[in-house]
Amino acid sequence: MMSPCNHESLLSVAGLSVSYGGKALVLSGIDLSVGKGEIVAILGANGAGKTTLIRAISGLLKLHGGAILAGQIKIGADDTTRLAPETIVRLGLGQVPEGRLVFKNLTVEENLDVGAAVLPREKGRRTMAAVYHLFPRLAERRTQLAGLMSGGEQQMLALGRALASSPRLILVDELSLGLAPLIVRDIYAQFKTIRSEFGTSMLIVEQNARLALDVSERAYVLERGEVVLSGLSADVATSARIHESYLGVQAEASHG
Amino acid sequence: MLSQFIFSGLALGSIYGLVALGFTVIYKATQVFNFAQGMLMVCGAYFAVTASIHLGLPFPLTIAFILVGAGILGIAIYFLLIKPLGGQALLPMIMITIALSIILRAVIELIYGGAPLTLRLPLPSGVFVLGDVRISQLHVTAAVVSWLCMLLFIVFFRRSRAGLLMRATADGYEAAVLSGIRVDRINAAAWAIGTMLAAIGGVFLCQLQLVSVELENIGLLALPAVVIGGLQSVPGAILGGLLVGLIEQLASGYISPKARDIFIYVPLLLILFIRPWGLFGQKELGRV
Repeated sequence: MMSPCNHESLLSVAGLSVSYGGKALVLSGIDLSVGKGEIVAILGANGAGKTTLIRAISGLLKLHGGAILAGQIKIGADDTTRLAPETIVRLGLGQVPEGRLVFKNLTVEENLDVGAAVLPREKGRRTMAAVYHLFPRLAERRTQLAGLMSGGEQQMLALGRALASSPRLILVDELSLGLAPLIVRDIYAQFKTIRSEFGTSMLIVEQNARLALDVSERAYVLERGEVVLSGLSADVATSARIHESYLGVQAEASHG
Repeated sequence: MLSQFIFSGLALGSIYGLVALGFTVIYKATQVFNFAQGMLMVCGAYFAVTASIHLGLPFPLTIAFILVGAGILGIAIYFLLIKPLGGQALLPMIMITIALSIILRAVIELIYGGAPLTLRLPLPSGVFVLGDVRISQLHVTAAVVSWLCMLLFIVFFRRSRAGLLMRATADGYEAAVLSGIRVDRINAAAWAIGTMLAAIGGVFLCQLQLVSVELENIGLLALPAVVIGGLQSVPGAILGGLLVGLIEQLASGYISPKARDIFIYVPLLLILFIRPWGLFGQKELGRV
C-alpha cells in the first residue's frame, strides 16, 4: 500500500479556497494529494464541497460562476490553477464527470475517438484497443448511439472515453449515482486493472463511502468545505466519525 | 409550366439550402439563432464586387478572396461578439445577431453606396431548352456548386476528425471541454464555415439578380428553411431549403409573387404547432 506522504505526487492541492460570486467560502484551505499509482477517495455528504473541489481541479469553476480565491493546484510539475479545462485534460487529467455526460448523438466508437483525439493517431488507436479490451461490452456496441445505451453502459463509456486519452490521473465523480448496485460493482471491480494496465492514478469522489473505501488506498473526508479527516482508507473506515456520518452506523455503537 | 417552376424552384432551393446549412452549422456549434445569416450572404456578394471590380482579380482568385474573406469575417464575429457575450440566454444572442446584421448593412452602404450594382462573373449564362423547360445554365451551375459544397461539408462533418469534434461539441459543451476539445477553435471554425456557405450562396444570388443589400431578404429565407427542416439537422437544412425554393416558385408562378410568403410561413407555423423540432430534426435523446 502506498504511503500517505508519497513524495512523487501527481496531483497536489495546497491551501485551496473557493467561493461562488464572492459569497461565503465553499472550500477553505483544502490540502490534498494523489501519488503516482494511487487510488484516493474523497468522501462527504451532499453540500460538503465535493463537486466544487472537482470543478476547481478540472477547471470548470468559472463556467459555474465560481472562483479560486487562494491556493494552488498542480498536476505533476505543471501549475494548473485557473487553467482552461481543455488544457488541463491535455496535461494528463482524464475526466469521468458526474451524470456521465457522454456524447449522446455519437456512437460508442466516436465517443472514444473524441477521447483519443488529444493523442497522436497511432497512440490513440492503441489506447482505444486497450479500452475495448477492458470493457468488451463497449466493443460489442461500437456502432450504437451512446444516448440509446443503459446508464451503466454510458458510465463505462464515460470511463473509457477518459482512459482513451491515456491520462496520468483520472477524476471519477459520483460514478454510482443513479446506477444499479450490480453494475456499479462491475465497474469498480475494474479499477485496479485500470491502474495496472493503463498506469493511471485515480481520484474518486463518492457518496457511497463503503464502495470508495474498499477500492482506494487513502481517503479524505470533506465536511462544510474543509478536510476533517484523512488517512489510509482502512483507518478512515474504522474511524468513529465516518461511521456516524457516512456508513450509517449508530453513534452509540462506535462510542461503546 | 409545372416542370419549369419545379426546375427553378429546385435550383433556387439549392442556394437556400446552402445558406440554411451555414445557419445550421453555426446554430449547432454555438446555439446562436443567427438573424445575420442573410447579411452574411450579402457580404459574399460584396466580397465578389471588391475582388472582381475593385481589385480586378481573375476569377479563380476572386473565388479564393470571397472564401478567405468570409472565413475571416466568421472567425472575427465569433471572437469579437459571440464568445465574449456567450452563455447568454437565447434572446440577447438573437438581439446581438440582429444588431450585427444592421451594422453590416450600414457598413456595406457606407463603402459601396446604397444603389444596386451590376457584377458579371464569368459563369455560364446561356439558356437551353429541354422539352418545354427553359434551363438557365446559371441556375444549373448554382445548383451543382451548391450540392458540391453541401456534399463536401457532409463528408467533412461525418468523416474527418475536425468534423467529429464539431459534432461532439454540438452534443454537449461541458462534455466537450472535459474531453480536451479546444471548443473555441471548433466554434470559430463553425462560424467560418457557416459564413463561407452563406457567401457562396450570395455570389450566385447576385448573379441571378443585382448586387444589393436587399438580397438579405432572400437570404433570410434560410430561416423558415431551417425551422421547417429542423434547426439541428444538417439534412433538414438542405431539404428545408429545397422545399422553400419549390414553394416560392410554385406560389409566385401559379398565384402571385405576393402569395409566396404566405405559403412559406404558414407551413412554418404548422410545423411549430405539430412538430416543433422540424421535419428532419429529432427530439433530444433522453437521459438514462
